[in-house]
Amino acid sequence: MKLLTHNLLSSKCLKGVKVGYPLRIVAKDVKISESEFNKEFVKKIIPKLDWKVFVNAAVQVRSTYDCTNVVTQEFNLYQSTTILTGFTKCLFFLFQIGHGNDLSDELIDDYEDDEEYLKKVHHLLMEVEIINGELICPETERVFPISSGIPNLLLNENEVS
Amino acid sequence: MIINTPAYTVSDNIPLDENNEEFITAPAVYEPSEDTFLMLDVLELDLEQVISTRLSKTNKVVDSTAKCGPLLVVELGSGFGILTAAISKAFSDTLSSIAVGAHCIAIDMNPTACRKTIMTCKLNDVEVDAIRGDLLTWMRHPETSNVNNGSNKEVYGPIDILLFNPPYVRGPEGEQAPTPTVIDAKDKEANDRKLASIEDGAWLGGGPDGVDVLKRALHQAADLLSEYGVFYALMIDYNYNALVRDEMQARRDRTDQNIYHDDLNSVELTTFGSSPANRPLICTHILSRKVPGENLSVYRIYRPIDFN
Repeated sequence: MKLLTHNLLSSKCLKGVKVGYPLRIVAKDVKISESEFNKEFVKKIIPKLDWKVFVNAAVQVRSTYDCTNVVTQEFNLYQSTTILTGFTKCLFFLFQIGHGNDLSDELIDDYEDDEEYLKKVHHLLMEVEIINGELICPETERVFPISSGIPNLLLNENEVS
Repeated sequence: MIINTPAYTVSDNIPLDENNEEFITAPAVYEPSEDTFLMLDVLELDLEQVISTRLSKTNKVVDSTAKCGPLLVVELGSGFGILTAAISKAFSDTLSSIAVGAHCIAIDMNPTACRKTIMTCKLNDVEVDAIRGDLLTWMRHPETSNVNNGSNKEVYGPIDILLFNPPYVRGPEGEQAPTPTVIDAKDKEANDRKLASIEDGAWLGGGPDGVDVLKRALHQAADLLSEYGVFYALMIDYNYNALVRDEMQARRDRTDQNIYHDDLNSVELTTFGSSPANRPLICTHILSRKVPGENLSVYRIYRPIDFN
């Protein structure tokens, strides 16, 4: 699950929950995949995001993340450079997330023209994927498991409001 | 515009990805069939025009050559993920001249279907997210989030294109559709029962008209569609008849004097969502096909543009 999807998730349907947004993230395994940087897409998706929720989600993924759990996606297993690219991506990831403090709670004014900034947003929105972990309802602490990249947001009949 | 039928495989022996060796095959997933392909034909027929006449209005830009989007696409009950894969692929090639792109999310209550959807999308080289959930109950509501769209608080939902090929068949005794619930891995017997009920009831639309599931989706869609968003839904003839009958009944009960935009191909629906009277939906017929024993149609459900 990507952070772009996380921005839309809520537990409002739980009995007794008023807002149920945003869901807290506990990431156990994180995958970094490459996705083509589409500048227009990123530029225009930013106004559609709840920005603070997005920035916070990125921080939560980083803080619960452990380097040994990075699963790097290899595109061509037969290339002799495989190990090297995996290593580079891991470093890249650490650089992006481990030191990614520069996405602040407030969106910068001139983000539309700042290509580096847009690339950073692109990476966090589209390339960081939570494979295993948990989403937690902010009001009831109900845990929604994420496994194989698929969050399970189903409720039992007795939990529905 | 051409929407290609995506590649898919009915073989079960494909792991989810290179890091995951699981081969989960139960419960079975509804296989692509005539209804799936009718939905694909509708997208090919209608989507480009909808993007250029409706969805592009969301981005008020000076430059008329600017592309629309990014669009949020959600498919309910994605099953094999054919529709999600097809639309996602279309956005990355044939539609890329008119839209900057789309983010696609596929929903299914069946865990195998979520995996199948991801597999089909991988096979077609597109990236989507799958969520195991019940229709749109997992989605944030416009009033609870803080979206940076200037001074206007978001009043419409985020979904631009919603796709649903619902379970549409009525049971002989008006059986209810299976209730989507969490499966608790600890109790194996109860688990198997639940999984079996999902599998057995995958075709059941619920109630005497097989329309219960679709009506729940309509209630949620009315609140979660974007201002110019569209909802493509497949119905069998008696599903649509039931919707029209209930709408007429509701109007009679209100004894209202409103003028409705009904005609041979469309009916205005005024009973769905949290403020149905202010925000009616129009349900327009797009395409029908007769298959043995069934007369299937796809409708586009949307808010009238000249509203207000």
